[in-house]
Amino acid sequence: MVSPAANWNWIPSNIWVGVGRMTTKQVLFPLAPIYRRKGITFHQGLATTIRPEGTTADPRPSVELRRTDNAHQGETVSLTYDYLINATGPKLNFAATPGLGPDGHSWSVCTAAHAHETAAALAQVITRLRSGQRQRLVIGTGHGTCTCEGAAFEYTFNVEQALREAGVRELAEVVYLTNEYELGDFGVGGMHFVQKGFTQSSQMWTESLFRERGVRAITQAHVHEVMDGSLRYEQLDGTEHTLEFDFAMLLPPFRGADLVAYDREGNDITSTMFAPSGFLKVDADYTAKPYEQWSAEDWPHTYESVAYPNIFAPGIAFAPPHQISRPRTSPNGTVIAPAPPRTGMPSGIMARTVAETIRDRIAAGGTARAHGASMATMGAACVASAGSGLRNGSAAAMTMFPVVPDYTTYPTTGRDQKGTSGEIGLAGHWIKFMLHYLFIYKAKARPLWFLIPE
Amino acid sequence: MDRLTPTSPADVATTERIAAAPLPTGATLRLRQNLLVQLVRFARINLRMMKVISAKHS
Ligand SMILES: Cc1cc2nc3c(=O)[nH]c(=O)nc-3n(C[C@H](O)[C@H](O)[C@H](O)COP(=O)(O)OP(=O)(O)OC[C@H]3O[C@@H](n4cnc5c(N)ncnc54)[C@H](O)[C@@H]3O)c2cc1C
Repeated sequence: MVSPAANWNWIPSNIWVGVGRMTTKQVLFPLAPIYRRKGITFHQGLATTIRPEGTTADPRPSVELRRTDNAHQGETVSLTYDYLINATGPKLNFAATPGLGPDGHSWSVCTAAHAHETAAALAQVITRLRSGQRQRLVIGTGHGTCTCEGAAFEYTFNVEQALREAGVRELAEVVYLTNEYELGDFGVGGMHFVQKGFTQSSQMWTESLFRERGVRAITQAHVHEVMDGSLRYEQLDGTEHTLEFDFAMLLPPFRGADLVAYDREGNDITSTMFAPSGFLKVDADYTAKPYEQWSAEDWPHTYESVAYPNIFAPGIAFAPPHQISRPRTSPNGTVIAPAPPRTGMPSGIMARTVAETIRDRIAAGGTARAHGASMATMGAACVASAGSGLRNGSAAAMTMFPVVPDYTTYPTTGRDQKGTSGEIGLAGHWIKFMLHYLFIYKAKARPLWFLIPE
Repeated sequence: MDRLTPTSPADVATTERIAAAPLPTGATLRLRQNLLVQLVRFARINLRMMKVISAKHS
């Protein structure tokens, strides 16, 4: 097991760290003792290079890493492998937008450390509001190709709740700025579910929440630049705008970890193994085709590298064949299209599928058929927090089946109405809160951890 | 800083849609926070999620 960080982070609860409702300690725990207990060798380091054919001196496949622990900072190690699981998730690509991120002029909640800094900045905003100064808070996506709109949505409503509870809501203007074409898209082309005898859309449902909570929205936006106290963005109609702010939390777009790959002779094969986005190419159909020709079959099943079947990429690390929401471009050629989310539950299912394939291959000597779990045939449960507190909390609890709409099987909405649902209330918060403890328990591999499903 | 006024067609449309979206009544909001009602919902949502999790995906 290789990880650059000494701690594991339960990322969904970073939202609550970002509003000061949780501490970083509550969302982090050290990895080394858990791996020690489970008899797994843990290397704290950042994988940099894959040599899937080994080298001329040693033909065994290997991966190189740069150690990141204090005692061995910067040292390089090479590990040989029989199977390699690249589950490196996203690289937070703040560099895609000048001025974006904590090193620039906006905040982030993507890591526990970011969320901690963001909570401090939010506390300052609340202090200024208490002194009677009006403040504009802009929360959303910092690039036209971002994903994770759900996280931006959650942070928006948790901030709104924090402002209300601080008694300063009236002086604050909360603006949600997003690359989604319309509210409720969430990068999955929105959802339809049956409620009170009607088929309702996630768009109407989300708009209702925005109305109830008095949150403004700017949709179809690509942020070109974040400056000190203002940002410049373009919308799908090609118009450019400037928006001033006192506080901005904007998510970065994602790209793959900066891994490079070489064949046995030392030739660079990075572009054979990885998509230009840095994500690993797997058993998906990467043929470029228009939205109208997208099919459920384009999505991968086994997460095996096409070039090297002993390499896998579950979770965010695999290169998706295309977006899920309809991609759109402004007249200036700016792509404003949410990237497909690969949230926790699908990522967990993919990881289990890969583990089962490797288990079978070890048992059967490498010939066993790969297990499969496509995002076009799996569902997802998402609980989007809209405020915390065991009595005052609220969250939108959503299920969708499948994640990638399949209009051949479900012609009306692309999804099974029985598996697609949404409701908002305190119960959703209880679930989100319970998941915090359950998944940390599971990640710590405590007794019977495996009974907790992905 | 002045309050945001929507100018682009997209912003005007989004603002109008939000203004016209269904506004939950006081009773709906109370139900969403009512402990007994939410306890039942809690069980129901958990069941629904378990169904989605256990649905066939290969
Ligand atoms: C703020 C926020 C809130 C979210 N909330 C939710 C939610 O409520 N529900 C939900 O389902 N999803 C949520 N998500 C999405 C969820 O976090 C991801 O779907 C999930 O973490 C993806 O898992 P992964 O294993 O692919 O990547 P990650 O969880 O990011 O794991 C990747 C790991 O690889 C390590 N790594 C990176 N580079 C290297 C390298 N070169 N070598 C070795 N290791 C490396 C990283 O340090 C990390 O430990 C949220 C995301 C964000 C940002």
